[in-house]
Amino acid sequence: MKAHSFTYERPSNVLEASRLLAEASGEGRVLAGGQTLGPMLNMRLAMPKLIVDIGGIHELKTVEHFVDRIVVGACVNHAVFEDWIDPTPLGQLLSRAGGSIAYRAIRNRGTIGGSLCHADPNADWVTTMSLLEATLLTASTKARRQLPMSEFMLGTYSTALNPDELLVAIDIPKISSEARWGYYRICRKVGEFPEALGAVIFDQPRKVGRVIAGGMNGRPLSLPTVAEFVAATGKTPELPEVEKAIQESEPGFDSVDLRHHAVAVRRAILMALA
Amino acid sequence: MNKNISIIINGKSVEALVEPRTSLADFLRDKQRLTGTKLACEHGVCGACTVLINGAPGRACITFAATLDGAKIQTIEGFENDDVMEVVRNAFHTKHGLQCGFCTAGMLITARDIVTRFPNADEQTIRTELSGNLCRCTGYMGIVKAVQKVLEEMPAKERVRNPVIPKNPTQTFPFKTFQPKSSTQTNTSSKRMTAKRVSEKDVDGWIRLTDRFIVARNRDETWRLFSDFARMASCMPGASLTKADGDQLEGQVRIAFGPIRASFKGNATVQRDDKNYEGVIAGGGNDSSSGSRAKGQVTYQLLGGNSGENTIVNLTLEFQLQGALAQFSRVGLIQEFSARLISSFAKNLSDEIEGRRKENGDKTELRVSGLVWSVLAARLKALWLKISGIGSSNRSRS
Amino acid sequence: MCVAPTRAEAEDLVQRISLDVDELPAVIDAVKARNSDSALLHEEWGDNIFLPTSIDINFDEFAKKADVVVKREYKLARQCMMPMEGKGVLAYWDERDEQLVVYASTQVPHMIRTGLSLALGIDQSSIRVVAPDVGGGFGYKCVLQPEEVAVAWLAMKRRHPVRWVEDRREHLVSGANAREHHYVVTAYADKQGKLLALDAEITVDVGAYAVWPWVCFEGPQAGGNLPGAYIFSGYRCQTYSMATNKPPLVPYRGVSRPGVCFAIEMTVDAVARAVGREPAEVRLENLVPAASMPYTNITNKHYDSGDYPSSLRSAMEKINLDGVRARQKQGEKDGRLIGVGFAPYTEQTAHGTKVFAAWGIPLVPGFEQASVRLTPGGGLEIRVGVQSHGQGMETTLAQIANQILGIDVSKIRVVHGDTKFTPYSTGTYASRSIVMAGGAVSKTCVLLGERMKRIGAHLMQCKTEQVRLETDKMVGPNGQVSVREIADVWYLHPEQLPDDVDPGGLEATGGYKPKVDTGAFTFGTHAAVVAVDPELGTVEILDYVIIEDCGALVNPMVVEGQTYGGAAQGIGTALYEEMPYDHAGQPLASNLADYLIPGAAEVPPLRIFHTQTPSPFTEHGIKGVGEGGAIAPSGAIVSAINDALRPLGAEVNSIPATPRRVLSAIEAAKARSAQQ
Ligand SMILES: Cc1cc2nc3c(=O)[nH]c(=O)nc-3n(C[C@H](O)[C@H](O)[C@H](O)COP(=O)(O)OP(=O)(O)OC[C@H]3O[C@@H](n4cnc5c(N)ncnc54)[C@H](O)[C@@H]3O)c2cc1C
Ligand code: FES
Ligand code: FES
Repeated sequence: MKAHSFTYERPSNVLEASRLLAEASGEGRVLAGGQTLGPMLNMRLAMPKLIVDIGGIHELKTVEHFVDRIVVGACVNHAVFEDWIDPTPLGQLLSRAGGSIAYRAIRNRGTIGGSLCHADPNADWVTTMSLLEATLLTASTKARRQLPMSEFMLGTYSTALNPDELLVAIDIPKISSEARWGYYRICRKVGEFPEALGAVIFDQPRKVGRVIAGGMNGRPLSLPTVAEFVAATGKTPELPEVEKAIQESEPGFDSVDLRHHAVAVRRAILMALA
Repeated sequence: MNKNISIIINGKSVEALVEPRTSLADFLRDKQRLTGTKLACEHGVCGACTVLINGAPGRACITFAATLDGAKIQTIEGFENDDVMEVVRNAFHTKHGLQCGFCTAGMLITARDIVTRFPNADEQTIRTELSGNLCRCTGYMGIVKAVQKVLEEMPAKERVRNPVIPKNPTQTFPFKTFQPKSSTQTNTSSKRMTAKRVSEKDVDGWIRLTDRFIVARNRDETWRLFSDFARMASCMPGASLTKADGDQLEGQVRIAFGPIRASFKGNATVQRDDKNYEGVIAGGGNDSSSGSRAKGQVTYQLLGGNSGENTIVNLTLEFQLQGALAQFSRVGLIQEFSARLISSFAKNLSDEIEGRRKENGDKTELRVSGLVWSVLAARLKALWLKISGIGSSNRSRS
Repeated sequence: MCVAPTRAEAEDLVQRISLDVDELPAVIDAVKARNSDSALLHEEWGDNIFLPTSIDINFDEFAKKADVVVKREYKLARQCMMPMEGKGVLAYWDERDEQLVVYASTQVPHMIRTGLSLALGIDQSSIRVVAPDVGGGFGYKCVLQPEEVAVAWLAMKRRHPVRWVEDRREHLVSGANAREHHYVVTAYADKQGKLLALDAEITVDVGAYAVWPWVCFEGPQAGGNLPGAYIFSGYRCQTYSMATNKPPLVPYRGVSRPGVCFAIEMTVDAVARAVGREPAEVRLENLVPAASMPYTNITNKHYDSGDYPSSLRSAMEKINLDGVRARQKQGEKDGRLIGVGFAPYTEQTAHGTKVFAAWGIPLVPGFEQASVRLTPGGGLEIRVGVQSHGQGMETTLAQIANQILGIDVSKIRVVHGDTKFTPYSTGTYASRSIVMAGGAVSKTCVLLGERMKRIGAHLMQCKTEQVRLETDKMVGPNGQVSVREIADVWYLHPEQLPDDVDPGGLEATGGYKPKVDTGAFTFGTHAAVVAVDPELGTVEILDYVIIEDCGALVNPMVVEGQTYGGAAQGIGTALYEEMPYDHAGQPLASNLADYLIPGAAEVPPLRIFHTQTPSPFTEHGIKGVGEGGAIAPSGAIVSAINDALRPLGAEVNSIPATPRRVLSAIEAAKARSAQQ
């Protein structure tokens, strides 16, 4: 379990990073916190020729607060969210999601951008950013793009990023101070990736009601009918209803997995309504 | 291409030339002779290698030494004059917090982190915070008791350096019902891939996926593509044919699954049934770099559509992986990936048959998002410029 | 072998090798491997059976008297032992000593030396095995490892040091495994649930090859240990040790007993349910009563001492059985189901010559020896051939010596883990070290004490019988001399020695074996209260009680440490740990995100209570304690799960009891009741 031999670069800005990646023509890989790429390199599952370490690009570590949004640099660590002193519902939700990831030692180094770019369906940020309908800001020497989360992640370990393109920041719309949210992870062990994730938000002033099932086999699944039901009634749907809603959009789960996803969603709703 | 780094280890500055692939743990153990840091998993789970990196616990196994130019590292050997660690160490001693001692360096560093962040913590919190450090000997009883002892005996003001802020996400206001507006970001528009997860009972090691599509060409015309293996192979993402000799094919399939790359070289045999418009391509190959092997088959069957001008194509992809790439429990992920693979294979085939493929241009080019860049607010633009290193801004950081 | 200056470079080489093999069908399921149409692993055998055994003791006679018959099938997953430090070996040829020096992460340095000598064809005197600090063993390191042979051979060939350290992936996918048992058990009982006879068929998946020297004894041991702490009169048991395409099975902490304890407890529960009685009461009535001790059970195990029913009774009290039953009637606000379970167990410890010889093992333990030396300056050096890798023997053996010789523990040094300095021993396994090495240290210290007293008596001008040993000194009727003075006289001033002094001096080697060497039986009861979430199938352990009796407690903290650690591993067996294989023989858990071992949050606070029933057969009445903690958890926890699931009519009989298995059991029960 020792990494293969690779070339290492540590650029000081994003365009430089993109240029290095472009030159590597598909054989380069960004290194952010290394908490996913590190294990994959050690196991030799990933063997890129070039590693472009973006840990030295300080601008990627900034958090900017605007009236209606927060823009978070791609290299902001999970622990920064965990320690976030922000009493608003959004602050609390981000803190919960960030603080749920793995263990403190991992959270100290892992980044939100790395998590999103890795696009593991079971990752906390993947579900949370889908829930919040974040927009992802990307850059390469050729173009800058902003991609809604739903178009950024294409499937398991797959994103819309081009090989020379970097995620630079995540633009998260603010939710109102009366918004209610729920976040429920089902995992076998503390710190494990959740096998199923339920994340919900009911933001009455902004008329946003959203229910997301995470930890699917691909992208997080939005369940608008369930969200509408809850928003309209203030009630928690019964488990079979949730199971049905999931199955309609994503058939093929066996009964145990289906149950776990439905329970995660339902308990997130219960949490939001509590 | 080795890299020069200068780092401070346990208060001493060290200049070293490191191979980029060398982990901090290997660097410490093999080059600095600091063998207190242990390796027990090398993938971030067990915590045996935990050290302080710029004051915060981090995994030395998945942090590369080359990335640490200018950093401060503290290993278990470097706490000689640390008043908190002294108390923690004594507590481990008196509470029997170690047996074989292999987890102990990481445990001590994590335990110290806990008592420097939590003024007080209940047993549940201590156990949760310790969960990133595995111990196979003690059953954690002595370790938990040791942390409790430190919390009880050392006043918070002498040890807490970076206090956690208690969170109270209570939602006091009543829930008001409303009609949510429809989402701008939905995932129902594009097809979702579905896959059956392998259950504990039924682990047969085979992944099977099917797809079906209709092309606006008659059966014979469609069958012609399925007789041209080079064209067919070009429709399979990542596949290329190096040799086609009658029924014998030789080639490779390249797979990119996130950062994982594999290239299976091998051969296949075709069995065709022209009368029934059916065929099976069965074969196998090796990916030498990951030491993995794959075997599998693609089955295709052409059925005449209603009008006679349409053809229904049934595709089945079955495969089995062996070796490093197969040795994971999260089969669902590989299935979802394969489902995307077969569906783009299906799409490419139908485009190829209907002659659409060339017009589409480079098929690997990604769709650019529906949102137009110009809608981005000016301030975001400024930020973006700053972040990407083009412009600069003096907005304060938070 | 790929050899390079660093492991990373060696892995580069490995990557350049590709294996071209013609695949044969894999044998993955040990039970199916018994079928005549199964693929064969070792074709020359004609079948896949390593070793079959069968026992029939008055089975028909008692089975036919039964009012109640219950039959169940149980399964334990394949497990990895997962000491935090994997295997490791470094070897070099010492030109000056003309000796092969092998540093190994092992529990059994002397055994490794014997094994290496056989494998490499060189004399044992030309080999030195050193095991300095070992990061946990648990049985994984009590065998001769193939890598030890390979690395040692290479070091001899190349005449330079060679090192290999196992990584976690190697441990998971290719290191030896444990536990994979399958049981079909039928119990025959009267209306009260009193067991009359038991019929069992046990299939053990021992993997592709046997390990040295523990050749295939887990199946027979399971057959012999299944009765556990219970009494019945008819027993029939068939065991099959089956070859499959998996790594070998090695004796992991508890060896077959976690499996048999689980199987027998589930069976007793099933009997209790069938007769409609409180399972704890049914257990009480079936346990070996204290009055029958010492007791020879149906499989000829000599239970030396103990009050098994009172151990269970105190577990019932400490876990508050009545309270749990009352709470169950009320139901839980959160909808979870509460259950309580018990698992009384016996732990045969320090079983010796007779037992191993009967198993036909190539290396049979005999007398254990210790060398004890009063060093110049008045310290004590104890040399033992067992290995201490977390068991705290540096402390406990020193305590025993201190008890005999009075020398302060801080002046006692325990030397172990080096064949160059220590007497031969088969090593540390089978909960034997404190009984065997402890006994040897005790006996030898008595020998040495006599010699010291003789010198002391001479110096104090009294009779040897009049001398008492106290802390670091000797006291006679007219004065005292310090231990240091005794040492000084022997080493520096022999002119002051008595004429009849023992010329053997202040260094003695003695040996020891218990009077009855079929093992000292540690026993106890584990009890668990769990909450099962019926929506998810998840299990939380709410309370866990251990009543433990290992005879005389040498050091309570060390005993508790051993027991807690074992219990945590048992919790892993019960709820988390599993190495699944697909039909092609691919191991499906190559990392610690797939292979789950309990962390601090998964292990509840464990509440331990000791009783002390000294063994009549061992020195100081000590019994071993290394494995007990790991034996009973599956029995207690799954018993509690099934107790919780009882209102739903569901039962889990396959471990680990994952959420998937629990949910599937609930669904199956629902489907059954819908059909009726
Ligand atoms: C033991 C353990 C447990 C974990 N548990 C959880 C969990 O419970 N929940 C969870 O969500 N996560 C979990 N993780 C994953 C963790 O959150 C990682 O930190 C995260 O997924 C990756 O972030 P990183 O910064 O470390 O990225 P890296 O590992 O550096 O990179 C990950 C991938 O993203 C690419 N990448 C990174 N940044 C960029 C960028 N800015 N632009 C383009 N590409 C980029 C890299 O090339 C790489 O392919 C766990 C990890 C470990 C080791
Ligand atoms: S060795 Fe680094 S976390 Fe296990
Ligand atoms: S003390 Fe051995 S692993 Fe913790």
